[in-house]
Amino acid sequence: MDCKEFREILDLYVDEELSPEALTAAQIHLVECHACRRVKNTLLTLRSNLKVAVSQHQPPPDLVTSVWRITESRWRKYLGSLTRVTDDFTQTRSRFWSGGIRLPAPVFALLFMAMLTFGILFMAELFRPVKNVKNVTTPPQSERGRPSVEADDFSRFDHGGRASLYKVPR
Amino acid sequence: MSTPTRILFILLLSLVFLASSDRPSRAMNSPQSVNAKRIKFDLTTFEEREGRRDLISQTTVEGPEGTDFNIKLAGARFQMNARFLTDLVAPNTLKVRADLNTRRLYGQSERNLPLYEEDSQRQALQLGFDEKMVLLPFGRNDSSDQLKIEISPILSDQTAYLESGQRRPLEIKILKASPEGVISVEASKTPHRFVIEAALLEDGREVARETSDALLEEARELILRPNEQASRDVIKRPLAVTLTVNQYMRARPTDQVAIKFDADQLSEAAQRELPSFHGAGINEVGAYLNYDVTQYLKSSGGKYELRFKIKLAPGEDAN
Repeated sequence: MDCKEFREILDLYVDEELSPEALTAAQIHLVECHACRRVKNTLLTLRSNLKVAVSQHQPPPDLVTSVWRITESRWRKYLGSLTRVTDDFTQTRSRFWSGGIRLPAPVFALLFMAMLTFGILFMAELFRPVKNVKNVTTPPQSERGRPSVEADDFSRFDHGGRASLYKVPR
Repeated sequence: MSTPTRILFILLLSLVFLASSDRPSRAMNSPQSVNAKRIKFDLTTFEEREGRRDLISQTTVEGPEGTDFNIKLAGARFQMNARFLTDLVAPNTLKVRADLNTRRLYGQSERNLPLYEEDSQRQALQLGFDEKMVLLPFGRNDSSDQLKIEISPILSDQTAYLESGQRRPLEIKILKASPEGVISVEASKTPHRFVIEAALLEDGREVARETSDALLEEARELILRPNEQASRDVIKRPLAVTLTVNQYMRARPTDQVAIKFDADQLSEAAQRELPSFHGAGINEVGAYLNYDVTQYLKSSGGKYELRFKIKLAPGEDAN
């Protein structure tokens, strides 16, 4: 085995995944080659350092909360800021909000007022009394001495009777 | 007779024939039609108030017998259209058929739309020339204010035809106009008298027939009398037809008539049997109107057809 071949199987050698014959050949080469021994040691050091570095960086406990806050609505943030007066108060409100009411109070109040208004209007329309037929107002009776029939005005003759036709001697 | 003489004779006959075509028709030449009088109707509207009568309007309509006229009242809240069909049924007797339609503004609906009260009446009167008709558009009432239209028929001195032989035209004279034209009068003359010929055909041959006179807009019953070619079914159950000439329409080249009728088979006891056949139609005067009535007649078989022909009665002029 030469250096080139050893560099190719170095990762497998470090991970101990080589076959027995390849492992023997790699060990024989390491005894003979100082450069390959140095490369192997460097690789091993790099791996152990990486492990140490990764083990040091666990996610912080409030990471989830931070991410939720980013996606939270403006109204809830505002409400949240309003309720942080005292710890006790916050706790009380939190319990209250955690009870399932998800609408902000102003929105809820507006919705409630709108429903109430429409409900009242609907009931008023439903039970509104039927309007009576408006009778035509009769124009004032013609004065004595006024000449004959005026245009559009037969009202003084009209008492709601049916037209009638009959014959009489002349 | 020699050939030139024959030709001359034929030519003379042709000339005589052509010359005679310019003369008035036979109907007009008959003594009855030449001396036919015109009838004048005096239409006067009064307002009666506290024992006083004020003249509102006066119009006369003059025309030959069979002249029809309309009286219209047009106010903002009340409209009336009174149509009168007149016929001289005897030398001194007029038959008047009146069609009164009124429309009165009653009030307003919830949506402020106008509500109208409408009324329609039909009435027939027979009156002599010594009588008059009184039309009360608003009916009788006890109050002193009343509008009254009096219609007086008068035999006119004018003849129905001019010296030239032409029919004297209708005349409407407005002697006193109503204020702003609230009362208007229209007149027209259309034929009123017709001859109805009704026939029943069985497999194309005539088996029953009847002829009758009829007046415009008046129902007439005809019982078709079977002849010797009629089958036993037709003889046992003759057909009764009630026919009305609804309308006479001016048209070119020939005027048209609209009819409606009901046809029933009579039982042996002369009772009408259901179902009856109802029909209507429009055709030229003198043309045939045919209806297939096979499915409506109780018979042993065969194709039955009802055929009508409406003609103007003798003396009636289409012009």
